[in-house]
Amino acid sequence: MKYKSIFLYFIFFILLVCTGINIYKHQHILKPQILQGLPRTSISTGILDENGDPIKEMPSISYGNSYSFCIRLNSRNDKSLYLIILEDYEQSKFSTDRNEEKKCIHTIDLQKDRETRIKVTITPTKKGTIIIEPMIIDIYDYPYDPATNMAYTAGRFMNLPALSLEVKSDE
Amino acid sequence: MNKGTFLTKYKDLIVLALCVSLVIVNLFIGIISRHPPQEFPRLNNTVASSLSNDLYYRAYWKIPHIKKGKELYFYYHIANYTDTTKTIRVSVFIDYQQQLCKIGGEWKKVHLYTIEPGEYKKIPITLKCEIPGEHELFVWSRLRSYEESPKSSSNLFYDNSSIAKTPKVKIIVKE
Repeated sequence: MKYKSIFLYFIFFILLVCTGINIYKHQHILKPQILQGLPRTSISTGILDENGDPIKEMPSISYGNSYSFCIRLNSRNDKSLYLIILEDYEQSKFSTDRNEEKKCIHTIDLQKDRETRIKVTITPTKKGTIIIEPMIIDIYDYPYDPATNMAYTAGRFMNLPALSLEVKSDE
Repeated sequence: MNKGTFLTKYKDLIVLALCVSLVIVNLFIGIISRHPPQEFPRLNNTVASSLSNDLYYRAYWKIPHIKKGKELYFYYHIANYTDTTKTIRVSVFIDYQQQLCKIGGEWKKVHLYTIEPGEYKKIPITLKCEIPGEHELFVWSRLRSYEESPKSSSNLFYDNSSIAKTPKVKIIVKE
Protein backbone atom coordinates (compact mmCIF):
# COMPACT_ATOMS: atom_id res chain seq x y z
CA MET A 1 0.00 0.00 0.00
CA LYS A 2 2.83 2.33 0.96
CA TYR A 3 4.74 1.56 -2.26
CA LYS A 4 1.56 2.20 -4.28
CA SER A 5 1.31 5.70 -2.77
CA ILE A 6 5.00 6.39 -3.37
CA PHE A 7 4.58 5.23 -6.97
CA LEU A 8 1.59 7.52 -7.41
CA TYR A 9 3.45 10.48 -5.98
CA PHE A 10 6.37 9.69 -8.29
CA ILE A 11 4.06 9.59 -11.34
CA PHE A 12 2.47 12.85 -10.19
CA PHE A 13 5.87 14.48 -9.84
CA ILE A 14 6.97 13.26 -13.28
CA LEU A 15 3.75 14.55 -14.84
CA LEU A 16 4.15 17.88 -13.10
CA VAL A 17 7.67 18.25 -14.49
CA CYS A 18 6.49 17.17 -17.97
CA THR A 19 3.67 19.72 -17.85
CA GLY A 20 6.09 22.45 -16.85
CA ILE A 21 8.44 21.56 -19.70
CA ASN A 22 5.52 21.33 -22.12
CA ILE A 23 4.20 24.76 -21.14
CA TYR A 24 7.70 26.25 -21.36
CA LYS A 25 8.26 24.69 -24.79
CA HIS A 26 4.95 25.86 -26.17
CA GLN A 27 4.68 29.18 -24.43
CA HIS A 28 4.85 30.95 -27.79
CA ILE A 29 1.53 29.34 -28.66
CA LEU A 30 -0.05 30.13 -25.33
CA LYS A 31 1.37 33.66 -25.29
CA PRO A 32 -1.07 35.40 -27.64
CA GLN A 33 -3.96 34.46 -25.41
CA ILE A 34 -2.13 35.92 -22.44
CA LEU A 35 -1.00 39.04 -24.30
CA GLN A 36 -4.51 39.82 -25.47
CA GLY A 37 -5.14 41.08 -22.00
CA LEU A 38 -2.54 43.86 -22.31
CA PRO A 39 -3.98 47.33 -21.84
CA ARG A 40 -4.37 49.14 -25.12
CA THR A 41 -4.35 52.80 -25.88
CA SER A 42 -7.81 54.13 -26.30
CA ILE A 43 -7.79 56.53 -29.21
CA SER A 44 -10.63 58.24 -30.96
CA THR A 45 -10.14 59.70 -34.37
CA GLY A 46 -11.75 61.83 -37.02
CA ILE A 47 -11.03 63.59 -40.30
CA LEU A 48 -11.65 67.29 -40.87
CA ASP A 49 -10.72 69.75 -43.58
CA GLU A 50 -7.51 71.76 -43.33
CA ASN A 51 -9.23 74.48 -41.29
CA GLY A 52 -10.54 71.95 -38.79
CA ASP A 53 -14.14 72.03 -40.05
CA PRO A 54 -16.17 68.96 -41.02
CA ILE A 55 -15.90 67.85 -44.64
CA LYS A 56 -19.36 68.11 -46.17
CA GLU A 57 -18.72 67.53 -49.85
CA MET A 58 -16.15 65.71 -51.90
CA PRO A 59 -13.01 67.83 -52.07
CA SER A 60 -11.43 68.34 -55.45
CA ILE A 61 -8.02 69.50 -56.61
CA SER A 62 -6.18 69.77 -59.90
CA TYR A 63 -3.64 67.12 -60.76
CA GLY A 64 -0.19 68.07 -59.47
CA ASN A 65 -1.55 70.14 -56.60
CA SER A 66 -1.48 69.20 -52.95
CA TYR A 67 -4.43 68.49 -50.70
CA SER A 68 -4.42 69.07 -46.95
CA PHE A 69 -6.73 67.73 -44.30
CA CYS A 70 -6.74 67.43 -40.54
CA ILE A 71 -6.67 64.30 -38.45
CA ARG A 72 -8.10 64.62 -34.97
CA LEU A 73 -6.81 62.23 -32.33
CA ASN A 74 -7.66 61.78 -28.67
CA SER A 75 -5.77 59.44 -26.41
CA ARG A 76 -6.16 58.33 -22.83
CA ASN A 77 -2.40 57.84 -22.54
CA ASP A 78 0.77 59.59 -23.58
CA LYS A 79 1.58 57.68 -26.71
CA SER A 80 3.71 57.61 -29.85
CA LEU A 81 2.03 56.32 -32.95
CA TYR A 82 2.83 55.81 -36.60
CA LEU A 83 0.77 57.50 -39.27
CA ILE A 84 0.61 56.20 -42.83
CA ILE A 85 -1.55 57.32 -45.74
CA LEU A 86 -2.81 55.04 -48.49
CA GLU A 87 -3.85 56.37 -51.85
CA ASP A 88 -6.08 53.80 -53.59
CA TYR A 89 -4.56 50.98 -51.50
CA GLU A 90 -0.97 52.15 -52.08
CA GLN A 91 1.12 53.83 -49.43
CA SER A 92 2.06 57.36 -50.39
CA LYS A 93 4.47 59.97 -49.14
CA PHE A 94 3.08 62.89 -47.21
CA SER A 95 4.12 65.72 -44.94
CA THR A 96 2.56 67.04 -41.75
CA ASP A 97 2.51 70.40 -40.00
CA ARG A 98 5.04 68.94 -37.54
CA ASN A 99 7.41 67.49 -40.12
CA GLU A 100 7.54 68.96 -43.59
CA GLU A 101 9.70 66.19 -44.97
CA LYS A 102 7.72 63.97 -47.33
CA LYS A 103 7.85 60.46 -45.93
CA CYS A 104 5.84 57.26 -46.08
CA ILE A 105 5.59 57.03 -42.32
CA HIS A 106 5.45 59.73 -39.66
CA THR A 107 5.65 59.38 -35.91
CA ILE A 108 3.03 61.24 -33.91
CA ASP A 109 3.19 61.96 -30.22
CA LEU A 110 -0.10 62.11 -28.38
CA GLN A 111 -0.61 63.58 -24.95
CA LYS A 112 -2.90 62.12 -22.36
CA ASP A 113 -6.49 63.39 -22.54
CA ARG A 114 -5.58 66.15 -24.94
CA GLU A 115 -6.89 66.43 -28.47
CA THR A 116 -4.18 66.39 -31.11
CA ARG A 117 -4.81 67.75 -34.58
CA ILE A 118 -2.36 66.93 -37.32
CA LYS A 119 -2.49 68.64 -40.66
CA VAL A 120 -1.53 66.21 -43.39
CA THR A 121 -0.56 67.26 -46.91
CA ILE A 122 -0.47 64.83 -49.79
CA THR A 123 0.15 65.22 -53.50
CA PRO A 124 -1.95 62.59 -55.28
CA THR A 125 -0.24 60.65 -58.01
CA LYS A 126 -3.44 59.50 -59.72
CA LYS A 127 -6.26 61.23 -61.53
CA GLY A 128 -9.99 60.79 -61.12
CA THR A 129 -11.78 59.94 -57.91
CA ILE A 130 -9.25 58.48 -55.50
CA ILE A 131 -9.59 57.21 -51.96
CA ILE A 132 -7.30 58.69 -49.32
CA GLU A 133 -7.01 56.39 -46.35
CA PRO A 134 -5.10 57.52 -43.26
CA MET A 135 -4.03 54.80 -40.86
CA ILE A 136 -2.77 54.97 -37.32
CA ILE A 137 -0.53 52.15 -36.14
CA ASP A 138 -0.25 51.54 -32.44
CA ILE A 139 2.96 49.64 -31.79
CA TYR A 140 3.03 48.00 -28.45
CA ASP A 141 5.75 45.81 -27.14
CA TYR A 142 5.01 42.32 -28.29
CA PRO A 143 8.28 40.48 -27.87
CA TYR A 144 9.82 38.44 -30.64
CA ASP A 145 9.74 34.74 -30.02
CA PRO A 146 13.24 33.40 -30.77
CA ALA A 147 11.84 29.97 -31.61
CA THR A 148 9.71 31.25 -34.47
CA ASN A 149 11.42 34.56 -35.21
CA MET A 150 8.17 36.45 -35.03
CA ALA A 151 6.10 38.82 -32.97
CA TYR A 152 2.49 37.92 -32.66
CA THR A 153 1.16 41.13 -34.06
CA ALA A 154 2.23 43.72 -36.56
CA GLY A 155 0.68 46.38 -34.36
CA ARG A 156 -2.84 47.63 -34.00
CA PHE A 157 -4.01 49.36 -37.13
CA MET A 158 -6.68 51.84 -36.23
CA ASN A 159 -9.34 52.85 -38.61
CA LEU A 160 -9.73 56.34 -39.76
CA PRO A 161 -12.43 56.97 -42.30
CA ALA A 162 -11.19 56.71 -45.88
CA LEU A 163 -11.97 59.87 -47.81
CA SER A 164 -12.94 60.35 -51.46
CA LEU A 165 -11.01 63.00 -53.31
CA GLU A 166 -11.48 64.15 -56.88
CA VAL A 167 -8.26 64.83 -58.76
CA LYS A 168 -9.10 66.80 -61.88
CA SER A 169 -7.05 66.53 -65.01
CA ASP A 170 -5.19 69.66 -66.11
CA GLU A 171 -6.96 69.67 -69.47
CA MET B 1 -16.08 12.36 8.46
CA ASN B 2 -13.82 15.34 9.11
CA LYS B 3 -11.62 16.90 6.44
CA GLY B 4 -8.39 15.35 7.69
CA THR B 5 -9.82 11.84 7.65
CA PHE B 6 -11.21 12.37 4.13
CA LEU B 7 -7.83 13.51 2.77
CA THR B 8 -6.03 10.60 4.45
CA LYS B 9 -8.55 8.06 3.21
CA TYR B 10 -8.71 9.30 -0.37
CA LYS B 11 -5.22 10.74 -0.82
CA ASP B 12 -4.27 8.15 -3.44
CA LEU B 13 -7.45 8.87 -5.37
CA ILE B 14 -6.80 12.62 -5.20
CA VAL B 15 -3.23 12.17 -6.47
CA LEU B 16 -4.58 9.89 -9.22
CA ALA B 17 -7.14 12.53 -10.19
CA LEU B 18 -4.38 15.16 -10.28
CA CYS B 19 -2.28 12.86 -12.48
CA VAL B 20 -5.21 12.40 -14.87
CA SER B 21 -5.78 16.18 -15.03
CA LEU B 22 -2.08 16.75 -15.77
CA VAL B 23 -2.27 14.17 -18.58
CA ILE B 24 -5.28 16.07 -19.96
CA VAL B 25 -3.39 19.39 -19.75
CA ASN B 26 -0.44 17.84 -21.60
CA LEU B 27 -2.73 16.39 -24.25
CA PHE B 28 -4.42 19.78 -24.64
CA ILE B 29 -1.06 21.52 -25.10
CA GLY B 30 -0.09 18.79 -27.56
CA ILE B 31 -3.26 19.37 -29.59
CA ILE B 32 -3.05 23.15 -29.75
CA SER B 33 0.65 23.05 -30.47
CA ARG B 34 0.09 21.06 -33.63
CA HIS B 35 0.74 24.00 -35.83
CA PRO B 36 0.83 24.31 -38.72
CA PRO B 37 -2.33 22.26 -39.38
CA GLN B 38 -2.03 19.01 -41.25
CA GLU B 39 -2.77 20.45 -44.68
CA PHE B 40 0.27 22.72 -44.39
CA PRO B 41 3.80 21.32 -44.50
CA ARG B 42 5.85 21.82 -41.38
CA LEU B 43 8.83 24.09 -41.99
CA ASN B 44 11.33 25.84 -39.82
CA ASN B 45 10.73 29.46 -38.94
CA THR B 46 7.05 29.27 -39.60
CA VAL B 47 5.05 32.37 -38.97
CA ALA B 48 2.12 31.54 -36.76
CA SER B 49 -1.36 31.64 -38.11
CA SER B 50 -3.96 34.19 -37.33
CA LEU B 51 -7.67 34.25 -37.79
CA SER B 52 -9.34 37.30 -39.15
CA ASN B 53 -12.68 37.92 -40.79
CA ASP B 54 -13.14 34.23 -41.68
CA LEU B 55 -9.98 34.23 -43.73
CA TYR B 56 -7.22 32.07 -42.45
CA TYR B 57 -3.78 33.06 -43.53
CA ARG B 58 -0.30 31.90 -42.89
CA ALA B 59 3.10 32.91 -44.18
CA TYR B 60 6.04 30.57 -44.27
CA TRP B 61 9.45 31.79 -43.67
CA LYS B 62 12.35 29.99 -45.27
CA ILE B 63 15.28 32.40 -45.19
CA PRO B 64 15.26 35.01 -42.47
CA HIS B 65 18.83 36.00 -43.37
CA ILE B 66 19.36 37.40 -46.87
CA LYS B 67 22.08 39.24 -48.71
CA LYS B 68 21.56 42.84 -49.73
CA GLY B 69 19.99 43.05 -53.18
CA LYS B 70 19.29 39.32 -53.37
CA GLU B 71 15.76 38.10 -53.83
CA LEU B 72 13.90 36.66 -50.90
CA TYR B 73 11.23 34.03 -51.47
CA PHE B 74 8.46 33.04 -49.15
CA TYR B 75 4.92 31.74 -49.28
CA TYR B 76 1.79 33.42 -48.12
CA HIS B 77 -0.98 30.97 -47.39
CA ILE B 78 -4.53 32.04 -47.44
CA ALA B 79 -7.77 30.10 -47.38
CA ASN B 80 -11.34 31.24 -47.74
CA TYR B 81 -13.62 29.54 -45.25
CA THR B 82 -16.62 31.67 -46.16
CA ASP B 83 -19.47 30.91 -48.58
CA THR B 84 -18.65 33.78 -50.89
CA THR B 85 -15.89 34.50 -53.38
CA LYS B 86 -13.42 36.95 -51.89
CA THR B 87 -11.27 39.40 -53.77
CA ILE B 88 -8.23 40.27 -51.71
CA ARG B 89 -5.41 42.76 -52.16
CA VAL B 90 -2.09 41.43 -50.93
CA SER B 91 0.74 43.76 -49.89
CA VAL B 92 4.08 43.23 -48.20
CA PHE B 93 5.40 45.70 -45.65
CA ILE B 94 8.97 46.08 -44.44
CA ASP B 95 9.34 48.40 -41.47
CA TYR B 96 5.75 49.51 -42.08
CA GLN B 97 6.51 50.59 -45.62
CA GLN B 98 4.71 48.97 -48.50
CA GLN B 99 7.15 47.20 -50.79
CA LEU B 100 7.24 46.28 -54.42
CA CYS B 101 6.94 42.51 -54.49
CA LYS B 102 6.69 39.96 -57.27
CA ILE B 103 3.67 37.72 -57.39
CA GLY B 104 2.87 35.83 -60.58
CA GLY B 105 5.73 37.50 -62.48
CA GLU B 106 4.61 41.07 -61.81
CA TRP B 107 6.34 43.57 -59.50
CA LYS B 108 3.63 45.64 -57.83
CA LYS B 109 2.80 47.07 -54.43
CA VAL B 110 -0.75 45.73 -54.40
CA HIS B 111 -1.65 42.36 -55.90
CA LEU B 112 -5.22 41.35 -56.56
CA TYR B 113 -6.34 37.79 -55.83
CA THR B 114 -9.67 36.04 -56.03
CA ILE B 115 -10.34 33.13 -53.72
CA GLU B 116 -13.32 30.89 -54.18
CA PRO B 117 -15.24 29.54 -51.18
CA GLY B 118 -13.31 26.71 -49.57
CA GLU B 119 -10.22 27.42 -51.67
CA TYR B 120 -6.74 27.44 -50.18
CA LYS B 121 -3.93 29.30 -51.90
CA LYS B 122 -0.23 29.16 -51.42
CA ILE B 123 1.03 32.39 -52.91
CA PRO B 124 4.77 32.59 -53.70
CA ILE B 125 6.14 36.06 -53.05
CA THR B 126 9.49 37.46 -54.15
CA LEU B 127 10.96 40.46 -52.44
CA LYS B 128 14.14 42.51 -52.58
CA CYS B 129 15.63 44.48 -49.75
CA GLU B 130 18.50 46.88 -50.38
CA ILE B 131 18.95 48.26 -46.88
CA PRO B 132 21.28 46.24 -44.65
CA GLY B 133 20.31 45.58 -41.07
CA GLU B 134 17.42 44.18 -39.12
CA HIS B 135 13.92 44.69 -40.50
CA GLU B 136 10.39 43.78 -39.63
CA LEU B 137 8.22 42.23 -42.27
CA PHE B 138 4.56 41.36 -42.47
CA VAL B 139 1.98 40.66 -45.14
CA TRP B 140 -1.48 42.08 -45.17
CA SER B 141 -4.60 41.38 -47.13
CA ARG B 142 -7.37 43.83 -47.76
CA LEU B 143 -10.42 41.65 -47.50
CA ARG B 144 -12.81 44.23 -48.86
CA SER B 145 -12.58 46.83 -51.57
CA TYR B 146 -13.66 50.40 -50.91
CA GLU B 147 -16.73 49.77 -53.08
CA GLU B 148 -17.78 46.94 -50.76
CA SER B 149 -17.17 48.99 -47.62
CA PRO B 150 -20.01 50.72 -45.83
CA LYS B 151 -20.19 54.41 -46.64
CA SER B 152 -21.06 57.30 -44.39
CA SER B 153 -24.36 59.11 -44.93
CA SER B 154 -22.49 61.81 -46.87
CA ASN B 155 -21.00 59.15 -49.20
CA LEU B 156 -17.60 60.77 -48.63
CA PHE B 157 -16.14 58.38 -46.10
CA TYR B 158 -15.62 54.64 -46.15
CA ASP B 159 -15.21 52.27 -43.26
CA ASN B 160 -11.93 50.50 -43.87
CA SER B 161 -11.83 47.89 -41.13
CA SER B 162 -10.99 45.02 -43.40
CA ILE B 163 -7.33 44.18 -43.15
CA ALA B 164 -5.91 40.81 -42.12
CA LYS B 165 -2.25 40.93 -41.12
CA THR B 166 0.29 38.24 -40.45
CA PRO B 167 2.47 38.61 -37.38
CA LYS B 168 5.71 40.50 -37.82
CA VAL B 169 8.78 38.54 -38.87
CA LYS B 170 12.27 39.68 -38.19
CA ILE B 171 14.61 39.52 -41.19
CA ILE B 172 18.26 40.35 -41.38
CA VAL B 173 19.76 41.80 -44.53
CA LYS B 174 23.50 41.33 -44.75
CA GLU B 175 25.99 43.36 -46.73
